[in-house]
Amino acid sequence: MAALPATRSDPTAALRAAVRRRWGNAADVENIEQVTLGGSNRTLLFDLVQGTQRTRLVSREETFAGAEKPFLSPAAQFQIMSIAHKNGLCVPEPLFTYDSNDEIGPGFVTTFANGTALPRRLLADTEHHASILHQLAITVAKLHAIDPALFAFLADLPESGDPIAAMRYRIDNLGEPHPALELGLRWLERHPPPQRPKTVVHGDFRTGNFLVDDGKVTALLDWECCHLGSPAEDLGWFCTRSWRFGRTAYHAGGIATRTQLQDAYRDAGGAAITEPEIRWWEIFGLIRWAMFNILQAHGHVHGRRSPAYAACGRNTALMEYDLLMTLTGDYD
Amino acid sequence: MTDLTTHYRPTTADLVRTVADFLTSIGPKLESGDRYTALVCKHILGMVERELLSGPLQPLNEADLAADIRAGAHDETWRRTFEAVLNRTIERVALVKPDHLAAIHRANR
Repeated sequence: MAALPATRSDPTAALRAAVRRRWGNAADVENIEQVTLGGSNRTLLFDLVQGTQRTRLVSREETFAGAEKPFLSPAAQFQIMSIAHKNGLCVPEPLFTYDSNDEIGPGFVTTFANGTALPRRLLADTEHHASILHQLAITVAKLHAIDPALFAFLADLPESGDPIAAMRYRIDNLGEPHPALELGLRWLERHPPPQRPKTVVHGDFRTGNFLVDDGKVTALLDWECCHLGSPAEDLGWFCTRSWRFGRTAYHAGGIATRTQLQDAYRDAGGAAITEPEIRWWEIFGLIRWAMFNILQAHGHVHGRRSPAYAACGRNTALMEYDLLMTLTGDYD
Repeated sequence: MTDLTTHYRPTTADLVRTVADFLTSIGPKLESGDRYTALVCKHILGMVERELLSGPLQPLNEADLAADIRAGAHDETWRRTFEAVLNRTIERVALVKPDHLAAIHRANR
C-alpha cells in the first residue's frame, strides 16, 4: 500500500471537514491510507475518531470523469450498495455521499471490511476455494433475486439494453478500429444466447473485486458497472480468461471450474445457467476487457497520464489474441 | 536514406534496452508502488525495442475491415478473414508480450 503522497491532491483537510459536517466538530480523521488509485476511483482508508471511539471507514472518489466513461456516478453506486446492503448482501455499509459543500468528491464513504482482494494471494489459498465459491454463489444469487424494479434508475444505461449494441457504442466512442473485436461481436450476434428475464447485474463480479478474510468472503466491491441484464453475464465475466490469473483450467476466477460454478449458483437458488451461455458471456467479457484497455489508453492520451494506462493501449492485443483463440476452441 | 542512426552507435533499440536494464537494476530499491510502475515502464520499453527491430505490419485498412465485419460482409468468407486477423494479432502480441502467445504460435516465430 502506497503512502499518501504529499501533493496538492492531499485530501486530509477536505476529508476532515467532510467528516465534521456529518459527525460534529469533535470528530476527527486519522491514519489515512491510500489503497488504490484505480482505473476510475481513488480509495482512501481512514479512522473516524470520536472521543475514545475509533472506526475504520473507506472513502471512494471518482477520478475519471468524461462523456465517454462507462462507469456509474458515485451517487448511483451509493444507491445500489444501499439496496444491496439492505437486502443482506455482504457489501460495505454506505454511510454518506459527498455533496457540493464538500471539497472532496464526487464520492462516498462506507464502512470498512477486512480482507484481501489480491488475486495471487486468493489463488494460492486453494484450501478455501470450495468455500469461497459457495459464498460467492450465494452472494451473487441473492443479488440477482432482488426485485429489479428497485433498480429502475439503471434502465436507461446502454448496458441495460442490447449488450452487443452497447459494446459497439462504447468502442465507437473511443475512435479506434479493432477488427478482432468486431469478429467477436459479429460471432456473438450470430450465436445469440436464450433470452432471460432481466435482473440486476453486478457488472464487475470477478476475482480481485471481492474481499476474503481467512476463507470468509467479507465484501463484494466495485459496483460502478452495475446494470440490468442477464444474470449469466456475472457468471461469464467471472469465468473470463483474464480473471483466472494464470490458473486457466479453473475457469471460474481461478478458483473453480465452470461446472462447479454453475452447480454452486443453482444450489444457492440461482437460475439454471447453461454452459454455452456462460461461454457466450466469456467471449463478451474478453471484448469488454479489451475495450476497457482501449479506454485506459484513451484516458492517458487525453490527460490522465500514467505508465500503466499508457501500456494498456497495446496490451489490448493480448485480449484480442485470447478472444480469437477462444473462438477457435484452442482456449477453453 | 542516411540518418543519425546509420553510423552512430548504439542503435536506437540499444538505447531503449539500456534504459530498460537500468530500470531492472533499480527495481529492488524502490517502494512497492514505484517498483510496480518501474516494471510497467520496463514492459513499455521492451515493446518499443521490439517495434524498432521489427518491420511494419502489412498495410491494411483496418477501419474498413472493422466496418465490413460489423456489416456482415465477411460472413461468407469468415474462415479466411478470421485467419488473417488472427495472424495480424499474433504479430502484435509478439511485439507487445511474446510470452503471452500459445506454444503453437511461439514455435514458428
